[in-house]
This record gives sequence, C-alpha cells and structure tokens, in this order.
Amino acid sequence: MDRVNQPLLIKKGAEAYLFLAEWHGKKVVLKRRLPKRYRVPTLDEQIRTYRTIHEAQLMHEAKKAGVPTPTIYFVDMRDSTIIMEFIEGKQLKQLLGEISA
Amino acid sequence: MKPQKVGEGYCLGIESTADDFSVGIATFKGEILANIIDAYIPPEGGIHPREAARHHAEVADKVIEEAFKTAGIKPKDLTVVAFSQGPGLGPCLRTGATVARTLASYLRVPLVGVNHCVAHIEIGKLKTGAVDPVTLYVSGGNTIVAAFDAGRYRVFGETLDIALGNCLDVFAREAGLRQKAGEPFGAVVEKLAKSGKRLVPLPYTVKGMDMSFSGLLTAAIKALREGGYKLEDLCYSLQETAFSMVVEVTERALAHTEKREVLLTGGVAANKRLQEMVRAIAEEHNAKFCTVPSEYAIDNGAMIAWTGVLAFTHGATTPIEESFVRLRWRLEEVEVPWIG
Repeated sequence: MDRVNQPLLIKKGAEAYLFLAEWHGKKVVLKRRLPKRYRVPTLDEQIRTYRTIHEAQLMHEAKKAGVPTPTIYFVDMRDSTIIMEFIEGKQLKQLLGEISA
Repeated sequence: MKPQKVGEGYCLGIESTADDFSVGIATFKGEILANIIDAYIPPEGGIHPREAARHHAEVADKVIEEAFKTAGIKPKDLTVVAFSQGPGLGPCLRTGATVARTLASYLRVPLVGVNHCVAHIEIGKLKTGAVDPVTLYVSGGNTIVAAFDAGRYRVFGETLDIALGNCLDVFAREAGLRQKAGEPFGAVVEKLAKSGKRLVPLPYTVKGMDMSFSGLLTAAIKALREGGYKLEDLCYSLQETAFSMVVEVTERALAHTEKREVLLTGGVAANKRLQEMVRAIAEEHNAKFCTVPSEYAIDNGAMIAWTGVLAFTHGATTPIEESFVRLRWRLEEVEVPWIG
C-alpha cells in the first residue's frame, strides 16, 4: 500500500471511490470501498470485505478465461482497496451513448 | 353546489389494490379536497383477497359519501372518475373497478385507469415538491427503485420475490407480536428494533440491482424458533439488513442517474430508521431528501385522483371495455406524457 503518490479522486460511485495514482512508477487506479455511514459498522465491514475479495477474484478468473481485464497489483484488506492497472480510453457508458446518439 | 369555473375540474379517485379501500377527490390544480381511507383489518393472519374485497364492497358507499361531504362537492360536479387498475390483488381491484365504472357511467363522465405505482410517485411529487426524483417505493406489496427517463418511469431495481413490508409483517406475526388498532406491524418491529443492539448475521441479498427478501425472512424466522436471541436484536438485525439492501440499490440508481432528489414513499416510508438511512445517501450525493407524509405514503385515493387529473388533462381516458383490471401491470409499461 505504501508508495502511492498523490491519489486524485476521479469518480465517486455508489459502491466505491476511484483514485488515479502512481504506484511503484506505474499509473494505477485505486478502487476504495469507503465505509457507508448509513450501515451499521459490523454489516458495513462484512459487505466491503466480501465484495473487495470477490471482485479481485472475479477479475482474476475473467483474465484466466481470456477476457481483457485490468491487472490487479495489490489488494489491501485493511481499507478495502484494490490497486489495479489504469487503462486509457473511454468508458463503456460513453461509447454506448455515442452509438445510440 | 359550488360553481365550476372554466378550466377547473374535479377528479374522484378510487384505490382498492389491497387492504385499503380509499376515495380521494382532487382539483385539476392539485388541491386534495378529500382522502378517506378505510382499512380492512383481518381477524388473524394476512390479507385474504376475497375477504378484503368483501370489506371494500361493504364500505364503498359510505367512503364515497364521506369523501363528497369532506370535499364539499356534489357527484354532479365531477369531471372524471379515476381508479387503480393495477397492480394488486384481483378481487380487491375488481371491486374498486366495478364501483368506478358504475359511478362514471351513471354520471356520464370519462373513466381513467391509473397505475398504482405511478400514482404513489405522482402524489409524492405533489406533496413534497420534488420534480424529478429517484424514488424508493417500499410497501407491503411493492419494493421498487424507479426514476423517470425517456417518457416513462424506469425500474432500476426491485424485489425478486416478496416485498420489504411483507417481510417485516410476516416476521412480526411469526413472533406473535400484537398491533394496536390502526397500527401497522412495521411500527411494532421498529419500536422493538430501537432497543436491539446485537447484529444477528442474516442473509444480505442484492443481485445486481435487484433484491430478495424471502431468504432473509426464512433465516430470521429460523433464528426466532431456534431461540437464544432476544426478539429486540432480531427486529434490529432484520431492519438493518433489509434497509441496507434497499438503500444500497437506491444509492446506485442515484449515482447512475445523477438526479438531485430522492423520494421515499410507501407504507414502510414511515420508518424513522429507514428515513435516516435514505437521508444519508441523499446528502452524500448532494440530493434533496423528500419523504411523503404518511397519509399520502400509504395506499390512498388522493393519489389515484391526482394521477387521474394528470392523465385526463393529457388526453388519456380508459373506455369501459378496456377497463379490466391488470394484476401485474408494471410501472414501466405506462407512458407518462405529462412529464416533458
């Protein structure tokens, strides 16, 4: 988790915040599941931990099956954060919007 | 008799999708002149559709009379009659529809079939001043997260099995809880949950944007029967788990649509803990939190009357031959021409 330089918030989702950062000289995305204040802490922690592990596992499985997915560099369970490869380009949502427009 | 000005009108709305038989009267300007609700209270257990329908038939004339009296208008002043055409329990819907058809044909005024879920959103907007909200509609029969997009209210997430209110009701009955006259079971669970402290692990089921409450209910009942848990803790855990699920889906819809308002409605909207949770996500996304006053959050005739006004003034009427009830009429099947 150390050596993350200047994380910059790029997207506030419902599930997690995305930060753009530099990690060991690489351009990375930090996906951090922040605690939800509406949930009781016990439940909140269970959900965030489970989802973070599960997401990393699924991305790994997808990659094994040949689906192009960002490479996962690090999973930090202490603050439910996945550090993954940053991929240049547009969001799927944007591309779909352009097609239908 | 009140003189009727040009461009003015009155709509009478009949609501009878489940246990409530209600008649509301709205003006075309959006004033609610009457909202009389008569609830069927089963001697034991849940709502038996035929028994509830019999109740509706028995009280219909009395409720209509009271609505006219409260509104201070006469039947011949009506411009249009609206009724909830679905979704809901067949026998209950048919009773309300029969009353509406009779009234409309006798008075020779147009009939408008209204979607019950659309009506909940519209009255919520009218009463809170919300313009374009993400709506969380939670009751004994429905659990829906919806928002308007491209001509219709779109369902972003919903229950895959039972409704949230149903889950709380059945649990309360299984626990042998008693309610005071007119008090919903949800309120009894809420009261007990307040003194609950320990979170009992229960299944949290959000699948994509949809939710499931049946497994949660089964697990809660199982824990209840096994013993070893305080009832207060079970009520607390059931509420926390179920509410977290609906709030999570609502937050996702809010983040995706980037709307500026969140509307909480339905019978379960009266729950203070749920209100607190929805308020938290609204604040998180810089949206305004709007909660519908209880009288208009539960099933009510006023919402049918007001939605009838909106539909009628935008050219929609329902001929008698198309006024059959629609038990599974989905929210997104309805075109909503009154939103530009």
